[in-house]
Amino acid sequence: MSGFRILLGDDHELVLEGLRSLVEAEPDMRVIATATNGRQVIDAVRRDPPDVVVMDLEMGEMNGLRCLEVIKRESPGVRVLVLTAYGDGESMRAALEGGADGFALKTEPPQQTVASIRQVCRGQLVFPLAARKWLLRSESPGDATTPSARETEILALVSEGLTNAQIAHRLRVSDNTVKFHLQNLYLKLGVRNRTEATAWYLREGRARRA
Amino acid sequence: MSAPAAPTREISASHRMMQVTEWELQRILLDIHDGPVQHMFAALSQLDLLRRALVSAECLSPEAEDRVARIRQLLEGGLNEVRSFIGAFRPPEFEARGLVALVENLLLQHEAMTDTQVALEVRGPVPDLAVPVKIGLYRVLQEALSNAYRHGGADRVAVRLRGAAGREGPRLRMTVSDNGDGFDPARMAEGRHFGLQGMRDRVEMIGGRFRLRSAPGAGALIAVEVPSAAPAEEE
Repeated sequence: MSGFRILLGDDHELVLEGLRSLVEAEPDMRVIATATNGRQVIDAVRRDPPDVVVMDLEMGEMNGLRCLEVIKRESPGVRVLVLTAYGDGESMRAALEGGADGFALKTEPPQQTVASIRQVCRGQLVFPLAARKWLLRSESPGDATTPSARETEILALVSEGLTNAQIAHRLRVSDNTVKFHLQNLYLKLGVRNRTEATAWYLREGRARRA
Repeated sequence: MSAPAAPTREISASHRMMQVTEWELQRILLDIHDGPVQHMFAALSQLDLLRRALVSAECLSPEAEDRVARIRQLLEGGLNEVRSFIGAFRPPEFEARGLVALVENLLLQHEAMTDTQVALEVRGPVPDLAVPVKIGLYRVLQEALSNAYRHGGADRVAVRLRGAAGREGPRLRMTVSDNGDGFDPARMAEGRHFGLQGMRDRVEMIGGRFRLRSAPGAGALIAVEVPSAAPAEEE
């Protein structure tokens, strides 16, 4: 069976049940496991890593932020969508800085959650616009079509074959900062992925930078 | 989710009251979080599933479709009303965070909810503040941001924090200015505007000074100055 493989973690059984059925009804996704506390989430990820973990921040045994930390350390390829009822700045910032791939609210319609899960499956970062600005606020965004100095710097590292985590380490920023920069870059350059971005850089960016 | 710890620090009566209020607020929010929010979210999921089942069995009449849409609207409306409340009033970790981090997180939250921008300027070392002082400043800032957005229609707000020396120890100055519609403070005083009065009361409870400057068409400026420590217990 194909499709994106999803793990759901929430200590509210009603939410799990509803969300599971909704995800299962989508042709391109399936739920491979559910968990009702943080410890179970970690065990399930270790046993059979999904494409995306969707989990609440408030769970028993081990809270969502601690889970996020363990998942990102042990299984960096697994994406995480935080699903919470609280839209407060502290939760959002903790999710951003903890390397979550998205932040969805239970106070939005569940279909919105399903749409966010799909976006995260496809490698997009799903955060409110303000969060993105917040993470990049000290850096000049450049204009709508030309990469900023920071973006060009990241592009150069991408074209050297560095991963996001390696770039983040090199530039001393969070993984998500690098991801946001790359998303902005893709939009500006009209490319879809790293390969196309590298091709653009080798063709035009290097000359501009020189 | 674990229950919030009861406040234990004993300072003045007004400080204790402020902490107890926050503690009670957190308990109420927890109940809303664990109850209605989860139920409404789950109910919406079930409603979507019901609709799908009826559609695939080809027995969703136009009338039933309308009813499903109406139920969805009602549930989404309920969630929407809860959203701003539990997002806005969830108490952050006042004990563990410094004022600057608390303010930064509040601004991020406000920006995400309102899609407006707030500039933050921090000058000089910000002194360590007693927890009730942090609570007071946080809630005053929250009210000021909310007023600027809801009543003033401001799209630009600036928050400044500045540490200052005082005769009885370090003090903290906070100003919040906006480019909104502004208002006549004298007329507000006549109408006893609860938000403004609440801000003033909170600042007085933590032994600080509250000033407000505004005029129709000229935005609003709120300036607060508070001591970093709690005032002595009133006898």
